[in-house]
Amino acid sequence: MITELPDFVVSPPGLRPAPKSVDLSITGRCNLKCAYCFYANEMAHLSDLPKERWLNFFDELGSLAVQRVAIGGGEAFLRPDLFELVDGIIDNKMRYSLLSNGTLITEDTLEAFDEGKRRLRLDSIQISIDGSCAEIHN
Amino acid sequence: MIEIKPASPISTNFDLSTKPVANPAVIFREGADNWAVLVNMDTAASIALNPTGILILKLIDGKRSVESIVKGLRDQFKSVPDSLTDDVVSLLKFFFRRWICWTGGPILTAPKSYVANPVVSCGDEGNDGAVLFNPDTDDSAIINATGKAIWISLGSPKTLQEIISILEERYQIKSPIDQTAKEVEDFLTTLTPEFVQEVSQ
Repeated sequence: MITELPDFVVSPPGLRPAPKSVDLSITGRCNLKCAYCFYANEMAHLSDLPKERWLNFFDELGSLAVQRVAIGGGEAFLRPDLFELVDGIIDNKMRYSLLSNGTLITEDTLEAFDEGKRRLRLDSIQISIDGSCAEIHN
Repeated sequence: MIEIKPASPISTNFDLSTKPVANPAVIFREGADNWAVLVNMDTAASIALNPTGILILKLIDGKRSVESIVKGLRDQFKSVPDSLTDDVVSLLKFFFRRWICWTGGPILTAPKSYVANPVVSCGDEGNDGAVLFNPDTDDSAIINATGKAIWISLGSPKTLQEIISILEERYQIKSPIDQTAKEVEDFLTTLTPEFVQEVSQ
């Protein structure tokens, strides 16, 4: 008979108590419909988590000393509150990177990176290029 | 001539040419019973001192060596125990540990405060210590359990003296106070400025 349950909060030996980095899809929506991508069909109709839920989650990641968050989607730049989420990551002592198809990045978007530590904490923006020429990529 | 014999284990490894310096932050109040209360205003720690201790404390002026303090006592009293050198060294070691006085030198006489860099995260690794991460510079540092204790204490600014007092409360430190201070300062220097910031006083 089990008289005492093990403490599942304690990490097994050799494992960190929390991950160093986390990859997140902050939206299921995308402005493109790439043939290979399941987001266009399966994810687009699902509702995204509201900003407050993400910010609470970032607080939790910060308390676990997670170091990096990779923000993807869907298309991350479709979220009008994207930079508020970025600031939530920054406020919780983390760095971040972005995955995007690049089509929504404008001059205004680039200027928005100048605020606070958004540029300092940015590891990279990864732009998807799915072919060697426009015909294949598009 | 009085012969000073550092014969026992207590004083054998102690440099008798050391010239102790009184900590100016320590307030000294003599009572009617010839005892005194010492209060360290930096740490709020206090101790009671008996008349012999008071006598030795009064000989600490930054100019006299331990050797000359012992000689001064021998000159002052006709009868002193054979263990006088050991007794004085033992008391001085106690003073060093309580920061009532120190041996001089740049580390301990030029107090500065340290505080954890507020942007740094601390990933607790249990008994293994912790991983510090500065997201602004993308630097990380692995520290052991003692380092973690120091780091946690730096949530508010602390002098080297205060950090060592905290360590002394938690661990039984056997190494000389100067060596401990040097090791802690080396540790803090390694972490500065990415993880720890110096605060000028």
